[in-house]
Amino acid sequence: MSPWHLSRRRLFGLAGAGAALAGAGAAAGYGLSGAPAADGVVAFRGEHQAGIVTPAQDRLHFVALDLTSTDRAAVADLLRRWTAAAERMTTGRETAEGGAIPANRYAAPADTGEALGLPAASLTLTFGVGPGFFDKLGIVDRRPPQLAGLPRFQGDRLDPARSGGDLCIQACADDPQVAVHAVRNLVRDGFGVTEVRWSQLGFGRTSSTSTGQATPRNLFGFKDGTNNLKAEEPDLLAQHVWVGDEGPDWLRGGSYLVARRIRMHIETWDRSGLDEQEQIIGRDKGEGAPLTGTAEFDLADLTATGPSGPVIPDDSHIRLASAEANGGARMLRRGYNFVDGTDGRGHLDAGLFFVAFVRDPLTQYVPMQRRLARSDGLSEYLEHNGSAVFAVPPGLAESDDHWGRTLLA
Amino acid sequence: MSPVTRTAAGLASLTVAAALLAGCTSTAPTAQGAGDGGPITVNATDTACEISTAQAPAGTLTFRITNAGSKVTEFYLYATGDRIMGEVENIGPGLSRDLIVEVPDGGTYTTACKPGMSGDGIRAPFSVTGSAQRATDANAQLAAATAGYKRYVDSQVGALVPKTQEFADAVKAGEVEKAKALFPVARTYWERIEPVAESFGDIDPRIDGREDDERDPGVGFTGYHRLEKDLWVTGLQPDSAAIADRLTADITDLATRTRTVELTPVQLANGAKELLDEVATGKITGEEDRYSHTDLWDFAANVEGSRAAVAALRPTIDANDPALGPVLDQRFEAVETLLQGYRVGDGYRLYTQLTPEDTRAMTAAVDALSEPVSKVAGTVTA
Amino acid sequence: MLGNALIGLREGLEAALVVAILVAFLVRTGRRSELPRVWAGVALAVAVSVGVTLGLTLTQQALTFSAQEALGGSLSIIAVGFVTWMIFWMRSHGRTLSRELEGALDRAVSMGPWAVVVMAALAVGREGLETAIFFFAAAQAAGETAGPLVGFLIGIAIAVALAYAIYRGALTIDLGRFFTVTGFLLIFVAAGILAYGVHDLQEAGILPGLTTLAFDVSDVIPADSWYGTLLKGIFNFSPRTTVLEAVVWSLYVVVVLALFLRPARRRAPATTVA
Repeated sequence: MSPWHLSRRRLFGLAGAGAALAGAGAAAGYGLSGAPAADGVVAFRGEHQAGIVTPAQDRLHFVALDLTSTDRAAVADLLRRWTAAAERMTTGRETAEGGAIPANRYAAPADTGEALGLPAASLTLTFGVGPGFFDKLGIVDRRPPQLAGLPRFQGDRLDPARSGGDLCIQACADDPQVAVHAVRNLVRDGFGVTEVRWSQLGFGRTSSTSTGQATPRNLFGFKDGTNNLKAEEPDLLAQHVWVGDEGPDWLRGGSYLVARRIRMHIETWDRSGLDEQEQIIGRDKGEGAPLTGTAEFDLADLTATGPSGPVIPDDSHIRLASAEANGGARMLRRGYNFVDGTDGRGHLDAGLFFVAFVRDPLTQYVPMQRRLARSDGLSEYLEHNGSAVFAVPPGLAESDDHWGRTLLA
Repeated sequence: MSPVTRTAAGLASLTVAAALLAGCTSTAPTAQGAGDGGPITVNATDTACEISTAQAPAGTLTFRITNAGSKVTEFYLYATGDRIMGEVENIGPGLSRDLIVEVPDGGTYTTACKPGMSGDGIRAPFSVTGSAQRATDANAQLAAATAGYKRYVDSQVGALVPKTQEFADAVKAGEVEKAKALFPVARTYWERIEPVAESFGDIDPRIDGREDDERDPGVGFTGYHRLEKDLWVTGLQPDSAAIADRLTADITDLATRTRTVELTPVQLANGAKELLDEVATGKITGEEDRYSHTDLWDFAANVEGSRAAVAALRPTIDANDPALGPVLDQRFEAVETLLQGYRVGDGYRLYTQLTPEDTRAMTAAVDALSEPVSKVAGTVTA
Repeated sequence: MLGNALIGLREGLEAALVVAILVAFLVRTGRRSELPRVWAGVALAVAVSVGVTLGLTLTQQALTFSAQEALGGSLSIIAVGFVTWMIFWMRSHGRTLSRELEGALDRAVSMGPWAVVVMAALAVGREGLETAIFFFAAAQAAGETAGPLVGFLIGIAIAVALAYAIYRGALTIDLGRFFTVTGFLLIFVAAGILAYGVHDLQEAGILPGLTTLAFDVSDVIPADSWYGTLLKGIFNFSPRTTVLEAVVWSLYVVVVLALFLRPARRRAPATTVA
């Protein structure tokens, strides 16, 4: 084979990647931003960051990092490098051209290599900043009050080693290896500027963020997120998810990410009768229909009463979490199940890694969680042991735009 | 030799010479074009000279010129003052030719197509970013680096032998406190050059083995750590003196061998990285000196040894990647500052006196240093 | 088509001319037995050029510019040495022949078997690599358009035909004149090769003064015209000649011509030839 053939093929490869980018870019131009193209590439750039209204992928690797440097230029430089590597990885490429198998045999490979040969797998990488980011870089004046942090809710057993963080990267993909590879390579590039604070693997999305997706089930066996906000509802997203003029310039078109690591006491739950389980949730287990309906998407009638009080009990999960109970506040939930080994006492350490995107955590998440923590019948089976809030900047438009550019400008 | 065989032999040698000449002066196709692999394409016509990019990183550049015109054309890359960096002639109509040219220095260059092979051609500026080091200077620098590091190793070995002898003598004399004080000091010289010492696979386990290492039947637990256990845990044993003698013999043997060791720049760079790996896996975990808990002495020595290797390579590092050196300085200083905080008198705090927060801070600092150090091997061989 | 044909003609002439004269000389002096050595030299040069080019192509490598120029330049200058030596060897031979009976060979000045091979190899090989690389490029393009390859081959064919014509011509002129004419021709050819080699080394940056031109007649004699091609192919005439090239060329021509034309030292008392 002559080198000309090779180079031609290489050329097609590049052209193909270019076409994929252009195609994904075109898709982002429609209302359906962030839908994966046919080849599993989700556009990295667009009005909003990918990984929020993108149809929830199957796998998650979430990492929260702390800044170990107070040098603003070093942080900006890292975010620029991260953006370049992230954009390449979301198209199924290595972090750098020839990164995994460098031409120089003595060089440590720039890409760790475990995603070689794997497709893009709808990888999205979503970047956010936590409260400490502003303190450490001396830009407290740019921190919105919504990032002050969450209050302590009743029953919280927060582990500092699983909470907070100055930065976060949410990697979602259909292949866990692709998501882990992405996080691992970004973490590696961050040494000296950032260090890992905590990280969470998740599987089996517990929410659907598109009408094209079936509602998944959580580890309690119930459909979860039936009434979630969907990508196809731009007006509702603008109302409940995207930060508008009320936020600082660098955050307009962005959102807030609330993460909660919720341990589920699945062993005790599994011993509950079906009726009790359905009463606690407020839905039937088979169909996922509210107790007042017969099909999943029937609207719950919270006013209906039966012989022994409301059909959907006062302490049921869907009543307390409903928009009606929370002054119309809604959220875009995007959580994942987890099973992280054991608790050391003979039980699985399993649960829900709850992720929600909201326009204002103080008005949308805090009142709801306060109510749930106090009254939800489900609380007896739950234990919140990790918590964090991050501000998620808007999407990147221009090809020279990078994460945190406007924030650090 | 008959005239025929003489002719044949001559032909053969001429062919070999030509092939060698080609081999020595050819360039691999990894030459960068537009930074993302592949050549820079030049579309030449009778009236135009379209180049796919107007800039490229310094190094070996490949231009692929396609003559789409009707006249024979030439392509030139000029440096300032029209110094020819490279040219390719005889690009007939309809042909593609490659120009592979080494551009070691950044700056503004000029490209020119010369349709009709005359005149100054159709010119355009071409900017080259960064700079690549010329091989000749680089080789001299690397030779100086290995020689310099060799001197460092020799000086450390020069101190290791008498200090270990002193430590062994104290053990044999039953002076436990003196031996305990000398133990981390003697080990400092060992730890500074650990990668070199470890390259002698047969004596390293005898000198620096751990109690739970797997050994061949009949081979006992010897070396520094055996004496460490005797001094701190079990009290001196009947065979402690023999172990001490064996240690000094092994160290002397090691010293003899290091005098003839030949190190390559890559080994230096990898050694610098391995020393930090040692810190991460052995010292920060308290695994190394599990009886005496003098891990921080070893930690400091590892970092010093790593810094010495990097310092020897510094001219080459600066030539190949000007941004790396300052980062290395800053990160080495951060680790050393951190260690300074744990100094007690002439030594360091014991590992048992460290909190989880201390070891976490050490891990972060060593990680931050290890990443740029891991780039040194690639940088000095670039 | 025409452009590629002219390239073939030029490169072909540069190689074929010296070979043609060498062959003519060997034939005229009754040394046909030496001819296989000439073809061996030509074959060697072709084989090495093609082999190196093929090797580089297969391994996807290419010579760097300065390596290519240094190689071409050095080989050219070595070739000049051989051609010069050939000129004087022919001259002495011519004189011997004019004194003695034709056919009686002078053993005192016999060309080693090696010299013929190297001579032919250098004549062909100094530009062989460039030609081979060009040929490959043309062959690669033949997938899309056969024009360049055909044009190039036509040019080579014309060059070979011209060289053959020179050879036939050299066979017909009388022997005394033959030596003078070919000697003259070779002196200018060699001077051209020398200047060409110097130019290569200037381009490689080994010698200075690349941009200091002695003259530039490229608007009068375009390099891509047929007469420009012939001048370049035969005498290595470059329309843009640097001062260093011109000086080297002039020095060579003056010195060698003077030596070539100087009367031979008389070993015997003069006998007037009426």
